[in-house]
Amino acid sequence: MRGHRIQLIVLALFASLFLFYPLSHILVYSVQYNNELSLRFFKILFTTKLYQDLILHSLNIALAVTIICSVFAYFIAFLLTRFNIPLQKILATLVIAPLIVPPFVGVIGVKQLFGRFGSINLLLLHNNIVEEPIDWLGSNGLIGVIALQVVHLMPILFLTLRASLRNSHQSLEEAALVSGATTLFSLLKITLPLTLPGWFAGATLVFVASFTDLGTPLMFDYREVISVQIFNMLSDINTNPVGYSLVVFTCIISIVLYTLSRSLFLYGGFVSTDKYSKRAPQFVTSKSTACILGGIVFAYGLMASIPQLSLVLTASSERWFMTIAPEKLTLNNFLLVFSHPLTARSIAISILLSALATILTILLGLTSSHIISRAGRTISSVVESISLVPLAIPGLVFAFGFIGAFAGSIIDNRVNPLPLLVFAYTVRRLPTLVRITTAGFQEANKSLEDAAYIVGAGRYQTMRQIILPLVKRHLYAGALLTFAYSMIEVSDSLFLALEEKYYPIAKAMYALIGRPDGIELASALGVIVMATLIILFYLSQRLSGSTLRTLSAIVGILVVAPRPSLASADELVLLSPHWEGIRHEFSEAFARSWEKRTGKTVEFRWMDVGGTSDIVKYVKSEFKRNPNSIGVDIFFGGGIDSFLELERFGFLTPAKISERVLAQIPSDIAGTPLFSESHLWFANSMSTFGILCNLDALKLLRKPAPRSWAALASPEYNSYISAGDPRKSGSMHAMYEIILQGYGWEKGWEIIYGIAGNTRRFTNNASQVGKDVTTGDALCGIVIDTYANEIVKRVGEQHVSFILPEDFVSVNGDGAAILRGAPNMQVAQAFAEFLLTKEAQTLWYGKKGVTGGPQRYEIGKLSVLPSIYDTTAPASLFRSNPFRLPNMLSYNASLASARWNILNDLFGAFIVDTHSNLKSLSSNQLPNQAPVSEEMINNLQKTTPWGDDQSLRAQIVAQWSTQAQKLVAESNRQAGVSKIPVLLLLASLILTLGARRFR
Amino acid sequence: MTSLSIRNITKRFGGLPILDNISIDIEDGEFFSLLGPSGCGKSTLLRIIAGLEQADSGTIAVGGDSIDHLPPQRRGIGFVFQNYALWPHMTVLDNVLFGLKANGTPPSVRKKRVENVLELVQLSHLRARFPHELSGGQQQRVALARALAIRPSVILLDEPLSNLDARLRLDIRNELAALHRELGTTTVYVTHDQDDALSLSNRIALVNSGQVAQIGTPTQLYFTPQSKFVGEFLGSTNLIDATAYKPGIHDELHVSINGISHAPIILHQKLALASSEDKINGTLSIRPESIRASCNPDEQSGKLEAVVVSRQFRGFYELIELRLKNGVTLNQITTERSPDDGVVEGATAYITWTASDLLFLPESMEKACARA
Repeated sequence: MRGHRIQLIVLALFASLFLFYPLSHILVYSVQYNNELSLRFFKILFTTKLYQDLILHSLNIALAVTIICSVFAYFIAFLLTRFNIPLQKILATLVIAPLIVPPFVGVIGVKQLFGRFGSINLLLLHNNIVEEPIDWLGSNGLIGVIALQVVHLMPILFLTLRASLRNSHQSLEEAALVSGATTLFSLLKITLPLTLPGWFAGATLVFVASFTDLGTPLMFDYREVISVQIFNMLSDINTNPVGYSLVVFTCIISIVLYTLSRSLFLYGGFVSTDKYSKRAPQFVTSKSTACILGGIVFAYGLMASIPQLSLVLTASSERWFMTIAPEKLTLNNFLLVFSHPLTARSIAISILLSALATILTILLGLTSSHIISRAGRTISSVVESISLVPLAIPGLVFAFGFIGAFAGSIIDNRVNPLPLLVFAYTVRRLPTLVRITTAGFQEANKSLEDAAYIVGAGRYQTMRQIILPLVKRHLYAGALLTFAYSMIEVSDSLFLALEEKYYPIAKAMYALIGRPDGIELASALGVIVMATLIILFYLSQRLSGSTLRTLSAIVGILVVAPRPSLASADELVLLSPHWEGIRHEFSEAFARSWEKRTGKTVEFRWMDVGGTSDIVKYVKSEFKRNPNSIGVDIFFGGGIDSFLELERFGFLTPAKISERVLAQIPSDIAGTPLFSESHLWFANSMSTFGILCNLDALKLLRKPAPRSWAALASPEYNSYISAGDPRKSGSMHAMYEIILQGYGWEKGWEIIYGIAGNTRRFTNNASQVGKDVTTGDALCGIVIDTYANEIVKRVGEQHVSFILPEDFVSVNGDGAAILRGAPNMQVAQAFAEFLLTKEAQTLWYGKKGVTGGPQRYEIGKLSVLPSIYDTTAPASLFRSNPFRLPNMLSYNASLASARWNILNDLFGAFIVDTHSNLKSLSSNQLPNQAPVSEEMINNLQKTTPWGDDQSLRAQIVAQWSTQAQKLVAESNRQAGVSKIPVLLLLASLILTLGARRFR
Repeated sequence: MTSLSIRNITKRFGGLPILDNISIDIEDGEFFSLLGPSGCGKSTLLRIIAGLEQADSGTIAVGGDSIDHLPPQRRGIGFVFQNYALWPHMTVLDNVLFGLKANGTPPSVRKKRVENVLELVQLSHLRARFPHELSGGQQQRVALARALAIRPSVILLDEPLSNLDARLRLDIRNELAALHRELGTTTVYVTHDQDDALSLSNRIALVNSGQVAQIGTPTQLYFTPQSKFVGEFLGSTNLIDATAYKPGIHDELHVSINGISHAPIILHQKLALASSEDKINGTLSIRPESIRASCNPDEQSGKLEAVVVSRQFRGFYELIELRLKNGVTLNQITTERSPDDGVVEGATAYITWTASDLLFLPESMEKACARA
């Protein structure tokens, strides 16, 4: 046999660059402290109960999902392979379809149906079948997470089991029958064990996929899993090494589990007894029985399609609020997908990325699997192990590694994420393809290939005419999976694509879901992607699986698809938590004014790294990596506390704003400054905070609307409040700070504990609170006026209402600043000045259609220009001039800013991370005092600026989280999740032992 | 009594008859072969006997009792598959034990029975191995042991030697024969290999296109084929188009080869002819071993003339290819070696044979056989 030298070199090069280098990068950073080798961050991991719990939860969910999937998959695969069920192909497609819908997209629809005031519960409530809504998805969303993962991942097991059942040789079962075994006995002893290798291959995929799934728990705001925690740690990757060590730890656990289960379940080896290929045996049943069995499969398919079906409903609804079905249907959302710049571009980008990744994966995967099945033992096992490594490593880990490892290189994702995304998709999908094609090669006899060489065929000819046709079916299945999965790849897309113009579909959907106006559009995008993939899948199945045809289809789409425009112009790079409406109006308006001034166009590059808190973490983390410039011009949006924080670190550059413009703006509101004296930052709009209430749901449950912050702590709202994680959202942070300042530290914490006890879950995303309220998942939520405005406008004032708390109102400036080393300084300066002009201020405050007002979206935020309140028709709900309000809280912004991060960590440790325990306490069991004295917090900041010593910070946070666990654990034995694992572990033990017997 | 009776079995696949009204009676303890070319339906018949397929019509009886209504697991019939169908996830021991476990044999009996069977096939030392750790011959014996373990009344073997190399084939063939002598189980053996069938069987049914061409002992089939097909299939006989007639009602049969003028070949074969004018077309079968050829012109008188095409050394015999004047080629096998006899390529040879070894196969009988 000829050597594989060139192929091996190519594989080695790819593996070392995109597999080992990123992984070693993570490893190096996790064991390094002040440039010395140190394991202190691992010690923190191992000694903190929070992390132990996280790992246990993740494993349990993955195990539960794998077991449930196995049961369904066996049952359905068996029915479809062994019975003469009519319409088999269509039924199989129905069962497989959910595979190509990312589970997190399904969350939208599922919540709409199964939420506390979703269609099902409303149906029950209106017919007086129940009095209180049933929590179908689990109080923390756990059931929802498991259910969606099961539905999404089951097809993987179904496909592998169907293949095993189909390939099992007829004579093996017949031999059992003539030996005297009953059909059942033969199924249990022969058929089932023979499918175990196939099952194992699928189950590993399912387990790891569930274990590392980020999208689903993120969308359910189920935070007690590793993936979500790692996601949260990403924004300060350069300043918080605990993230690295958690990633390494996860990775190790993953690899260990993988190897362990592999060695447990693998047979000594298999002989192919096939010489005369025969079909797997079929049970002969009457037509009616076959139809009933087909009906069962159909019922499952229908059940599994609920997320997609409800997605279709959501996508085609114009309004769906607290009613069993949407009030009004429309097709506009689908049309909008193709005209909306974000969605249209994301489709093109995803197709481009997936096609490139599929081609690269096929090339590398086919080479690997050919070597694995044909080369010598040592080489083949080395290649096999390496090619399967990514299977054991969560996508998050890669994303984490890629971002760190390639920072500053020519393929830095911050500049252009596309190359790295292609490589990331390829690495992630390689194991699947290698596994599938290796199986193909092992089925095909090597002598067939040798025969070609002997008659004088070259390597290329042999590949094309002998090898490819032999593994055609396998290759086709693998390529299809690669393409489909790349189209909907979540973690890499979420992590690596930071700029809207490079968003793949998954990130675009995630971004849309995070926007108040985006759900329907995201659903429509989801539906279109889903439909396209289903059609592609079905067609290629019908075309009897020609690889070439599939490839040409992919390439065809590639050619037809609109290419992302990469025209050059002046550009402006912005970091902003602002939503699409604001981005759109300001970029349009500024572009017009820039063109008028200079005659040049300007392209806005919006970087998306999360909410305000995430942006601050990101900026700090990036400047640590590259102190001169982080390639961003403007930080636009977010409360001024965050700007004070960045000012302290010296990350800002003064904006040159003319005195004439500044003169019109007051220097402060209720004691809070509106711009820094050195013009390092300036407020250009203002926010107020309050309570968003679902009036219909309150009425259904006969509860009053809360009128003050303190009222939210009342036990009558138990489990019906929605609030967010201050570590992720600046507006959430601001509200907690307001309560602490308004009521004082001690009383403030008592109220915060009360609110936390009532909170259903802490969302990752400020806009999610608004959505929880509109779906009725929560009766009330704490929100910034921007989001409240949008929701009230969409749903109607008679259904939801935004309440300004009676105890005190706070108005906070929303800032903007030019970052140090801004690459487009001239444009940035112009944009800064533009933000304070009357034109820009009218965009914030004015109604759509007012002269100089917004054109497409209505923003409805408060202006910093007092004169505007007397002249312009407001779009805001807040209709009075905020500069003249009576019960205004005098907000100490510098205090707030100084302890910004410390408070986040404190709140995170004592409230969010222990929340599952907290909410199970009754109101009188809740702690009624501050966990740490205010003095200590303020001193901690003064003596050791928070965040300077990462090790100290990590240690203190770990201490806090242990303390917090103790605080609530005394009055509460953990319930819920922890009971499931015992059962699951037991079940898996039995299964493992059972499988061992067959070795 | 474990005789096996196959009565009027017909099986069609998609309208095409695979088995066409087949009837065979196999006696108790008999080693019976179903011989025939690939695709003639013999394997299907075996699967119908085992209950793995359903016949469209007809009846199978074991020991006089119909087993048509029984599922395969209750027929008590052993089956050795062509690919052995050894369960890859079980050891040799587990494979053999399986049937006993399935039919609920008590553990103590099981153990003894398995020991016996493994000993019988000489595999006791390999009991802990998995199938993929065995050689082809060993796998074959495991398959046999597995079939025997349940003490079947009838054992069915579906081309069991076809996956083995020539040497191993011979060994196993001998073992099979020995086993059958020892156990005396009624055995039905499906093969397309005439050597297997001829050497092992008490009787053979030669099957062609779903019909029995001829049933008989190996000798009967070999020496007195009733049709061209049978003659052609068994051994490499020379078949020459010929015409037969009787000069008088009580005369011997006169046969002349078509396309050559020669003195009629006189055969002591009984063949009813309507009259002396009645000439019938058919085939003359001449066994290669019964041909003698000489290149000595002295022996030329009254003999058929041919040209030596080739002379091949074949170990203990030689094969000589001869071409008659009408272009028909005859094969001669001879064990008499005399290099100087002048039989070389291109030489003219004069052919004689022992008339009693010759057989005339009339065309009409061929047709009659095909209908049977």
